[in-house]
Amino acid sequence: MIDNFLVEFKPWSCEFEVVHKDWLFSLMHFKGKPKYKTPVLISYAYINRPFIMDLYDEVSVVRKLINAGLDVWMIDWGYPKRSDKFFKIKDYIDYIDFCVDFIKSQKGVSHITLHGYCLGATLSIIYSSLNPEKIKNLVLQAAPVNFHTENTITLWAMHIDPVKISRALGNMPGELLNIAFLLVEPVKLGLKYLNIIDNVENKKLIKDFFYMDHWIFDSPAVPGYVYEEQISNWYHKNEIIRGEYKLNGKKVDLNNITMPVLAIVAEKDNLTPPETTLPFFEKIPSKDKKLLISDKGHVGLTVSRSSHKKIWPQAVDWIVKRS
Amino acid sequence: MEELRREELIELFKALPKESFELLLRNISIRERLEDLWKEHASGKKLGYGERFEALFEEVFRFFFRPLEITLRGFRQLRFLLPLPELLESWESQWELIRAWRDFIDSLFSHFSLMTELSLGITAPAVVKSMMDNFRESWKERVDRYYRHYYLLDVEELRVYTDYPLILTKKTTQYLLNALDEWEQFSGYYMEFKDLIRNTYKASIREFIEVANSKRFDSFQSFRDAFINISNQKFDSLLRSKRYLEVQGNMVSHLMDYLYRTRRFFEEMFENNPINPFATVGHVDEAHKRIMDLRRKVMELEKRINELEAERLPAEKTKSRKQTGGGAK
Repeated sequence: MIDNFLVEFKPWSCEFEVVHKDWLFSLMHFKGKPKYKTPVLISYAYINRPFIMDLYDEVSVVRKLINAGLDVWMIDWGYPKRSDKFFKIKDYIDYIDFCVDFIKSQKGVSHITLHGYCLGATLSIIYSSLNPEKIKNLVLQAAPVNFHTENTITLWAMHIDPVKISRALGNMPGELLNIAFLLVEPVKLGLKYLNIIDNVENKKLIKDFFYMDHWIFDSPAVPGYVYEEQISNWYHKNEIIRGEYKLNGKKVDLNNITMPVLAIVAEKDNLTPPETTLPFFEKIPSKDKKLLISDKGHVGLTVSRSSHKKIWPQAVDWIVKRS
Repeated sequence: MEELRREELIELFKALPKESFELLLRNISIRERLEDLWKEHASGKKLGYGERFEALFEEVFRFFFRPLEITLRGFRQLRFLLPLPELLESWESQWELIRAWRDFIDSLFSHFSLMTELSLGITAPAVVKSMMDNFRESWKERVDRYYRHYYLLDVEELRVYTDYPLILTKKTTQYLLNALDEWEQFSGYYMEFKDLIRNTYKASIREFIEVANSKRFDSFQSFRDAFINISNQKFDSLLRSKRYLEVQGNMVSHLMDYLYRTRRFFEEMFENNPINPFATVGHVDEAHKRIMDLRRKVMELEKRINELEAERLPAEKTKSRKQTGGGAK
């Protein structure tokens, strides 16, 4: 029986090359035979590892994009250490800018498709509003922009002082975030292993389950200053959707989001429910915008087989048509 | 499910994330306990809140309580590092006796050393000492000389220790006192946090028992799902309630202040010690902050240089075309 539990964990089903490294961050380029001119740059959330987009072959969003003939690039935000406490949101946006310029010069194009997921989507929105001329299409997956919602994790965020956390711990440790994410539904999530105990002979189910667990518990810390900004400016003051958020003295103006936008939300998402994205989606002036609604949760949106049947073919088709 | 053998557990621990391993093992115990309850229910017996439900609580919530309890107990570390005033005072009052005892032990040790040396001189063959042996002995003699000298000084060392609140700087003792206050506040909120969770669990179990005793679940699966769903609903209400948000927020706030002030207490102590050779975390943080600021400036300059280069190159091309007459034609 134990053999079924001893799952050899090998994330990343697609081949890639790390084409640039800069202290904490790196840029990856996936191998493929692109048919379309506009490259796709994926910016994943900095609170988890980006291999969720390519966890294994059957549920790989990256493979779907490559197979469709797209040229796929991805940012890895790395594992911040104590010495990275002083990274700011500005440094993340600057690195997106570096990557966009790098890809543009490598591929000889004037703009790219930027695909953000979760907090990586928030970064993508900030970047796109500051540099709209560099972004041809904006793809947003479970994007938190409106932070004043009633979901549990938001209510908790509203009642903590991030400065005290970064002052005491340096960074917000990934382990602490994981405990918080599990405590949102302590009985349901704490007892989720009952299902695999009852299906111990089902190797596929167990493999899928533990692949997810490896991803869930592989959580980088959030640099202290980034955490302060995220909680104070985004959650407490809800500055982005209000049009009050500034970066380097420049206002992040959502009226600049005029490029084609694809927003994908998940109905059962308890971390970034649809209400975090919908007000933004309605507010932006883009004339070419599409909303896809999945019946899954925050992660199921990416790795469930049903999402790969229903949602991703539509999403990839949308990107391809604009590439 | 068949039981995992001990050696298999180690293999499993190596293969899985630590959290998955713990939760899996706890879930195996939870399943066994739930199955026992289900068998009782299926046999027509009425369920009641007892040891098994209490044990379930421990299995489900230990994972969440443990990190907080480690910090709660961390206070003992702080207490341990500081000399107990009453113990030091007791030592000080009996200092003459302690000194006599120490002299006696020293004499006894010298006596045995001498006896052993004499005995070796008589019974053991003469040992030819190497240069290395001579060096070690002379080193020991030199250090012993200072040690003997120190004791001749007759320093009231215990008095120095009992005065420690006055030895530390004002700022250092303030950090210590504030850290202890924060710990006290944190522990109070933690106990309330635990009570809120325990009471919600009990309420959910009471409701589950009521449902189970009023109907018959036809399978273990439906029995288990009802347990999870009822608990989930109760906890959802709790975790969003005003009091819970206040308690959790205050608990985290005081915990963080306790950790920060404790660290600052130690840092102040080290920073005020002129022979401390180590940089504190605060010092290293400050260095990293300055490095990051400089890095941003360097990147800004690099970007500006690249922009200027990009502007200069087309201008030079045009100029050179004009000079060669290429542009005019």
